Amino acid sequence: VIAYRPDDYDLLAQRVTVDAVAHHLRGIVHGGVKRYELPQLSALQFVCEHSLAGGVTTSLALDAHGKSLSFALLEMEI
Amino acid sequence: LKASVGYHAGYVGEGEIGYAGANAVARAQLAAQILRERLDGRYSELRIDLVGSTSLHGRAFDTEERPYEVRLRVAARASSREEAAIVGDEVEALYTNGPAGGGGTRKYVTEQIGIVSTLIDRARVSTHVTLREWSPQPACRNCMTSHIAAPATRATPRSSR
Repeated sequence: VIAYRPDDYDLLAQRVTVDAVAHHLRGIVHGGVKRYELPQLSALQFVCEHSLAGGVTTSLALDAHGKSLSFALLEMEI
Repeated sequence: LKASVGYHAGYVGEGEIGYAGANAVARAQLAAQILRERLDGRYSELRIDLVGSTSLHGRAFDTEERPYEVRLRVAARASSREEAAIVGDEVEALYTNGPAGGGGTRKYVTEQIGIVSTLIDRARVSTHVTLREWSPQPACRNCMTSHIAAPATRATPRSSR
């Protein structure tokens, strides 16, 4: 998650918490969620484990890489 | 008599990529525009559809409808397998060099046999019947799959005119 306006970073950091993300992506993310804060980039990086329905090479999912999941997170209301 | 004549119709190259969430249709349309610029003029036939929006009717009659996700599908006819493969390669390039959040690409190359309908004089057609017997390949003793490269069919033609 990268803030479009750097001024919004604090709000994002306050609302887009590990718990909120884990709740929003329940059913997709089946493992732990870790958040890394990168204020110098106005960005938050989330590492979501067990989200690819078996992993890139063996997943039956259409989007085996989970490349579209960023937009699932963008749908989160804060 | 009516006759269906098969002919080699070239190779169809296909590529697909999906977009979901905010502006999914607009992102897919942008991807379509990029592909059109890169592929147009290269093939005798090219079509780009948005599955979930325009793939069956060529347009969406209900313009209010906004799908949560949409899948871009591009197909083109080429004269060689290599040329057809470029279609899927261009779609795959959109993963990292295209609208945000594209996922789940697929690419296919299919040899196509076209069929045209015509008429043929009944007197010029001779008929015969061929019966073939087929038995399944026995499994490999080591791995229990039927990978042994042996003739898969045992043909016993009995022709009669």
